[in-house]
Amino acid sequence: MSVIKAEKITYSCPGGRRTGISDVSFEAEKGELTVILGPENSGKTAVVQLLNALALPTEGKLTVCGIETDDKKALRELRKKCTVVFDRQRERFFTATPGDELNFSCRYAGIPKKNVLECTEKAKAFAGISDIEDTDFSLLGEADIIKTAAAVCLVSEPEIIIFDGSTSGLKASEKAGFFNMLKRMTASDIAVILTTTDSNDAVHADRVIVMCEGKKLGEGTAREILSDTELLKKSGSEPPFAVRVYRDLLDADAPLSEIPLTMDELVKEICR
Amino acid sequence: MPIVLENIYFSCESPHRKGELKNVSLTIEDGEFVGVLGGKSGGASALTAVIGRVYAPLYGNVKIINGDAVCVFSGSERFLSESTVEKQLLRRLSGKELGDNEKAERISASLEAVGLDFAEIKDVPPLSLPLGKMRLVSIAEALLTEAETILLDDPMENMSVQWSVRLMECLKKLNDVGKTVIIASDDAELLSGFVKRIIIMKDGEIVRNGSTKTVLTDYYDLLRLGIDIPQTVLCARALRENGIDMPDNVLTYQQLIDRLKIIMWRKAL
Repeated sequence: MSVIKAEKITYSCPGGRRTGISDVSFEAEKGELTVILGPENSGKTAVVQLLNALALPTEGKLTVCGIETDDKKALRELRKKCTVVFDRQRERFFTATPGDELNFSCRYAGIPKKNVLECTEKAKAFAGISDIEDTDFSLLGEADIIKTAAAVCLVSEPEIIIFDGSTSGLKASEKAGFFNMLKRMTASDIAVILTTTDSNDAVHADRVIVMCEGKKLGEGTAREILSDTELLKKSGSEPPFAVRVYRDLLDADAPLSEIPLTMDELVKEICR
Repeated sequence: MPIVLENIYFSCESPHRKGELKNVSLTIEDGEFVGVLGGKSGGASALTAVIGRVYAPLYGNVKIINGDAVCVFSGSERFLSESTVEKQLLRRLSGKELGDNEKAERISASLEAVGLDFAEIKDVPPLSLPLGKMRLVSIAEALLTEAETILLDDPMENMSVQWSVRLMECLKKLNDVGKTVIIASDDAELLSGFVKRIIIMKDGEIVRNGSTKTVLTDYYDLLRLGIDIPQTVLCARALRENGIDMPDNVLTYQQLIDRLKIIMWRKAL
């Protein structure tokens, strides 16, 4: 059974200034990285808010970890199983350092005192923040903020971790470490969702969902979606560098299986 | 009539901004479009702040000979606290002796200069706008000072690719009409398509200062300095490593494609 099942969900943001979503259906599986790709204001953050039950769909049904999001009694359990690393995460921390934040979130998650140390140590090691646990947040860069937020999520042993726009603040050199962490998460059978505007991020995905102006435009494997220049253009995204070069250089209609997605694949293909 | 910095020393240790400048001397000519890499820790932020007169240097001279300079500093969109965009921009004009009509004209013109429509946006609360538009409003606000030089400190932080490109295109338009534009950013790739000159800062000192092409195609140099290398440069190098004859000064996408087409054509023969 899928860990997320969205069936024709529709939602309009109160105040009407930001885009809602309409008639969106998709599923996400454990142990997979699902990337939601779309330009600004395509409804990606709305999806995140619905998944975390911060808002309820006006139509359709959304089931997360077997719990329907409108089930008010199961809300706390839902948010333990489905955790979120938000956009502008820096402003959402309660304390001053990663170490403190982890301790705080353990207590908030109701973890008994004797288990807190083990729990935080595990989370810190997983996210790779053990050496910065006592550094003030104001001195930490974006990459460390995201890793800390991920560690906080890991504390509740979630089934799903959602990263909403986390890659937009990262430098290219920091992205490798970030996607490494995501790989370790999916290897531990966690379902990871990442929303992004950059198609290069979708290269690592098991599943890509393309959104634009609140609607789902397409869904498929990374290769299927990222080589579909038409679809990407419609959604206001650019194909990844390797795909652009390949298409411009060679065949605009080259068969799917040959299209390189990463720099390495591109170089190999050119040198053949 | 350039901007001249002479032996600037500066340090700022507040919790939100770190940055220092050590014996920085620099000349920037009228109408230049300059990118400053190196991030906050390198001193790129501090450089824009000192030239933009947000802070005074501890030692040394900043001479701005033609007109004035205004700085759109990092995170300044948080100060867009008025209830509408129109009120926000009017606040900037509040000291000046202008009739209401003229104020409205100036506001409309500055919004247009950044690609926003006055009628559409004037009654919207600035903080409810998407990040990209907020940043453009900050720039429009800065344009109202009629300064000849605009400095921007990391305006594309946390912004999507589409908006970042739009912001850079807006800056290019401003440069085309004669403004001197100096932008501090980590996004070397994006800057490479727009700025004519690149300055790299490290530990408060200028370590590289030259044309975009010269600075950003030096792969090993950028690697040593910890600067994100543009994709075209990475690609060209990877191809060279695999025996393909790519010249080492390829920077733009078009140059890469053109060169590769020739190589593929030769291979086919």
